[in-house]
Amino acid sequence: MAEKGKQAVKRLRVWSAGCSTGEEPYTLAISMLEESEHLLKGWNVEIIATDLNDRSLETAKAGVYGEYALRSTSEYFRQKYFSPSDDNKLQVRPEVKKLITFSRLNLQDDSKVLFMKGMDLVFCCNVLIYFDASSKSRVISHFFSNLNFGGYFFLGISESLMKLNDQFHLIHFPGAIAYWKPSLKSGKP
Amino acid sequence: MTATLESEIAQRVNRIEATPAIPAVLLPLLELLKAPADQVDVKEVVRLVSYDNTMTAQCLRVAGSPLFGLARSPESIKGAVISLGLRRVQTILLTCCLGQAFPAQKWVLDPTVFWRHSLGCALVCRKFSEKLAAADQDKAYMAGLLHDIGFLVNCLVFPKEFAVAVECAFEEQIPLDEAERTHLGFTHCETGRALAQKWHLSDEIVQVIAHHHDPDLAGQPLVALVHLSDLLCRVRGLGYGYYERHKVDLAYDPAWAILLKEHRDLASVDLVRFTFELDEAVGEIQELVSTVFGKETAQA
Repeated sequence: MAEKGKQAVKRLRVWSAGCSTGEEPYTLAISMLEESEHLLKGWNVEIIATDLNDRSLETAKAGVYGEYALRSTSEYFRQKYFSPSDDNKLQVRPEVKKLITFSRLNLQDDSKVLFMKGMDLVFCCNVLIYFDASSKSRVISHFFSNLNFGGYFFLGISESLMKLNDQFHLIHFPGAIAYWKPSLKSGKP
Repeated sequence: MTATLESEIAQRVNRIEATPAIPAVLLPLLELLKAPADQVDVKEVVRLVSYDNTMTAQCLRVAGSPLFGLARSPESIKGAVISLGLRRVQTILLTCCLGQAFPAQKWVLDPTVFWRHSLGCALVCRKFSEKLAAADQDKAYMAGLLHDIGFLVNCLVFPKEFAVAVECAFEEQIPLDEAERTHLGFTHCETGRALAQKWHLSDEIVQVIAHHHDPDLAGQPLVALVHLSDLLCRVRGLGYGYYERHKVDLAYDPAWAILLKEHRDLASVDLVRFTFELDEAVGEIQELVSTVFGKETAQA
């Protein structure tokens, strides 16, 4: 973030690839809003959430969740970012939704994936496990080229790029692992 | 480091001898450990350990931990040697000795947290070297266990100055060695080296203690291995009990190249899988720490 902060245009583009029923992009949006008075003050944040499945996307756009999806969401977040809906469910508030653009995309559709340029962060959790090795490699190399220099790529827990890509640097943060696309100038994250 | 500072450290380290808690078996045991495995006098080791009932019991409990590969605690030290091998048992004995070596009341660092990091690092070093065909697993374990011994020296002989450094590290979320350099003018690497030399530890271990934060200076694979394991521990919940704001690029660390030069098979280690294997072991490490370094031990 500090590195990115030096740029004139404070814009952060995030892609949630394979967003399923929307939990991931909403969580990202809420985290960004939580930082909007601190790290991300004065930043323009844009989250693009894509999935192949139309039905999942409909659910995602609606943003209404029951107890199970919210099982690890604390009272603080429920109060701040959700409003009550039918059947004891909670609906994501408009200011959260505003950050996210949902659209249908097949990650295997090379020509369309090529358009997803200029990303700072890409999340693709538990999606690639359904792909064969060569499709995986191809999708990952697209992610690499779609990322800005210095951007980060996140996989799901226990997924690894071993033997799939050697352009990304594997970076350990306290409690998290990410793949980093080296900046042009320095070889250091 | 100036000559005066060096002699000041050496002088203060010499006073550690007066600490009553160092078990009588520690130094003779370290001496025995230096011999090649086939020349170690097993009877002598068993005799040394049996002087101390608490330690014998503790060693047997540790030997029964899943992290040491036995499903059940062996009934005697001899039994442990038969099922685990002499060198593995030596590492267990050393672990238990160290647990008793330092009085708990003088600690600036939380002793449980310190031992969790040391033992965690020891096990990560061993696990790491399991992936490298030509590496000596038990030596790696020893090196990991002892690498931060200088922190104990700091707690004992520079308590006030070290307390300031620790507080600063916690507050600013920076690595401890950085805070030491600012507030003490030296680090646990220097004080640890002084103790290691006083204890006549092997040259390899002295190098690890002195250079695990600047492995390129030593250029040795064992130092590099400990450096990488230490970094990994600190980003996976086995650090010093505070949030350290840093990111680690293991495969592009200078230590990686040093280790790779000696062990080509390092290139095929999947670091992500390795990290998750480590995560799974954290609970067991915690349990082992309370077995060896728990409250009763500290007071004994």
